[in-house]
Amino acid sequence: MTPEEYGERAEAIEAQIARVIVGQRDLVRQVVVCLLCEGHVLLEGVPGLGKTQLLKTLAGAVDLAFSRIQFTPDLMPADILGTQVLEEDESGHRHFRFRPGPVFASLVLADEVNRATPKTQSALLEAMQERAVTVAGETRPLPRPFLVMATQNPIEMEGTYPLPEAQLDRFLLKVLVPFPPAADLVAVVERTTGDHSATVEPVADQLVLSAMVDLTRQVPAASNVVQHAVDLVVATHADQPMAPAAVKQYVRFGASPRGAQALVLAAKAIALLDGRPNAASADVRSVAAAALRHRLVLGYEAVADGVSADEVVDEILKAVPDPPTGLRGAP
Amino acid sequence: MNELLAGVRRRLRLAWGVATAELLAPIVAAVALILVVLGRVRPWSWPEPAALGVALTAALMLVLAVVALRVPLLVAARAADRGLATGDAFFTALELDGRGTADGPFPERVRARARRLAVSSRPADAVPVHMHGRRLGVVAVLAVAAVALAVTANSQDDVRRRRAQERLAMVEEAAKLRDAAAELRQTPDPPAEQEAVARRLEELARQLAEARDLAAGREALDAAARDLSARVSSDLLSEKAAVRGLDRSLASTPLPGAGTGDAAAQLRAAAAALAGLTPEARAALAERLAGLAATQTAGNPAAASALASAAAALRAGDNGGAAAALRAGDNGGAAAAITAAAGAQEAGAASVAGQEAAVSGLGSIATAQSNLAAGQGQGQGQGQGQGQGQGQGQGQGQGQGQGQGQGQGQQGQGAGGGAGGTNAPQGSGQASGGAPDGTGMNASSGLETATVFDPREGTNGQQLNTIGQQGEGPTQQAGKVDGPSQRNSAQVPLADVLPRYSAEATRALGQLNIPPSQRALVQSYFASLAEGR
Repeated sequence: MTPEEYGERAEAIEAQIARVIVGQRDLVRQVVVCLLCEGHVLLEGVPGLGKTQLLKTLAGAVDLAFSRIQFTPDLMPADILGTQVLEEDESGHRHFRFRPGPVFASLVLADEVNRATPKTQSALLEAMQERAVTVAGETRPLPRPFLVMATQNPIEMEGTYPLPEAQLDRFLLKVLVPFPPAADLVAVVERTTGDHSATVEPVADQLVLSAMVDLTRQVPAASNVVQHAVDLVVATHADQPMAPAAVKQYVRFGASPRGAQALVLAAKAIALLDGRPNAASADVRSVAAAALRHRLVLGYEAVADGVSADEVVDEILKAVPDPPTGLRGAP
Repeated sequence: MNELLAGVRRRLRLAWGVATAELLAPIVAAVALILVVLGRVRPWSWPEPAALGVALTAALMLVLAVVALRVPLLVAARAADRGLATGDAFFTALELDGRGTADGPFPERVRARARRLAVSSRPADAVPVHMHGRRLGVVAVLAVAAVALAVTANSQDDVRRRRAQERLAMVEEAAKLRDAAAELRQTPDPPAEQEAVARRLEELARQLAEARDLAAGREALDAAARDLSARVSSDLLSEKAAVRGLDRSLASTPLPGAGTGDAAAQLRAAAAALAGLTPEARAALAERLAGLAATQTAGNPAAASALASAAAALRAGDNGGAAAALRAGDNGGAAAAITAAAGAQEAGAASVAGQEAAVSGLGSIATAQSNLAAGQGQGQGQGQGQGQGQGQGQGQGQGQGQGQGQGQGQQGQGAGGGAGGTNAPQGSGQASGGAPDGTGMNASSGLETATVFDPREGTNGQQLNTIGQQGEGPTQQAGKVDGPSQRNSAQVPLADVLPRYSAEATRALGQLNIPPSQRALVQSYFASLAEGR
């Protein structure tokens, strides 16, 4: 696959999504970035903004195995991963057979993921990181590409279980779903209250998507781009000299190395989607909030002061600008 | 792309220079202003040149730094990426070139994109040169203030000018002292004393040339004057003056019947011719011998005594006694005493030469000091020359006893210097600021026929005025002296009074607290009179 074909395919996917999702171009772009990076995405937004619809549409735009898991407090790990069932064959012999759970799909929609108990949530840890599942002592690989697309509601606290940091860290991006502008809302209402429903056609299959994922990783990122991503991640740690005051005051734990990986990888995808053959520092900065906000563990001071992770990331971006040339008078 | 990056490197140098200049210019301008202000409150000569030097040096250093600045290509690429917002295209392309990576679909695309961007871009767009108006305004204000203060009249300029003049004067005097030393060395086979004086003068010239200010120069001069004064015998001058004076007096007005010849020969001839003289001639001769005796009292007491004895004998009609007193003999006749004195001078020729060299050196030093004093007086109005000019100056038979005038110049403008006779006890006042040696030296011309005022001959005093010379000092009454009241009655030949004047001056110098330089001046003056210069 060439970068040009990559762009065309990505554009086609976004076009298919746009047939259902009105507006929200940045949101769609970030979700597609996760798809092209084979990175898990966590969508957070109040109910009714189309999070599930977006992910379902994305699944429809690509010809991949799709499964949806509605997370509830009584959901068990086996309900996700699968389980051993005792079967008896025609000769009367009994044996255990592994019955795969819904996680054995390329696209897994974990709807309202924070409603499941931590035990169940943790069932996804191995799947998300290792892209494999170990049940009954046997490790079974998951299909490629494998992508967990989770949603969560930030306002309902009753009956929810915040995702553990280890699992949050496994999401490439955490994308906030904003309330659509009025014009878009009009279109949404018109589109969803008529007698016609938009249909989505798959424009990429597993092979194409695998090739796109591979191509994304080949995009060159100059040393200064990688260095800038590292600087941003380092600045999230309060004990680092380059950490801004907001980090020192509000952040208990900074981003892990996965944060830097997410920044660079997402920057590469963005560059390709923009038709550029190389990642840039600006690409890194454009995804900094989505890649870092869920990786910051804020302290109670942040809660007390009403400071969000996005505000801390903004301070980090101000404190760690795109590295200058180091020459006086130079841009 | 390389062409663009080369242009970007040049622009980066320029931008670096401008940015650095903006950073340093306020500091340099402030330093220059401080130096200029310092130059207005202190009489130092270096602040304003230093201010200019700081500015020029900073500018030169900046230019050199800009020229020497090496901008790596990657830095230029990074600057171009940032300035043109190319999304790190140039930097990535250069890095890929450096890595030699050619695999995959991206390296060539990255390079191609970089080339396309380079074609449509200009270095000036990549590296715009920004000037900060506020900072430039501050620099302009400081610079204008410094220049304005530098070009406007400065009260310290006069002080600096005077110091420069002093410096120039010291250098010139140092050159003159070297010339004087060279002149002393021109004598074939000079005595050791003369050579020592020459060396001392050369050392003094060096000290004077290296002196940091006039005070140091004067100090060096005083030290040299003291040194050379110690080499000069106080009796030398008076004895020399006595011998030479008697010779000249008798050469210009020979003794009756003595014919021509030196003093000793004339005295012997006169002794031999006593018997043939008329009573009137003997009386005249007695009178003349008495006068000559008076001239020899200070410099050659033996001759004076013999001459007085001869005069007394003549008045008493004792021709034999007079002849004996005049001739050379074991009993110390006048001719013998004169011959002995001349012989002593000749016998000690080497010593005398050395002492004369010292006197010459003192004269040079005195001239230098007076010149420096004149220069100082022009500026500070506190010339210290106590103008004991003891020449005869403007006597000329006018009966104007001018005494030992010591005029007092006002604010250093008045030129001191007594213009007239010597030994005037009522001469008063103090000369200041002038050239204290000035007028007295004029008497050296026409010594044989010159006449001077002798206060002993005068009766009434006459108001003495000293007139400021070369300056603006008002004429002041400096005192009154006893002077002649009758026309021409006070005029006597210089040769008749020179030995006595010289001796008196030498004695006075030994008694008064007179600076060595002034003492040297007086000594050199009488030395020059004795030499007939």
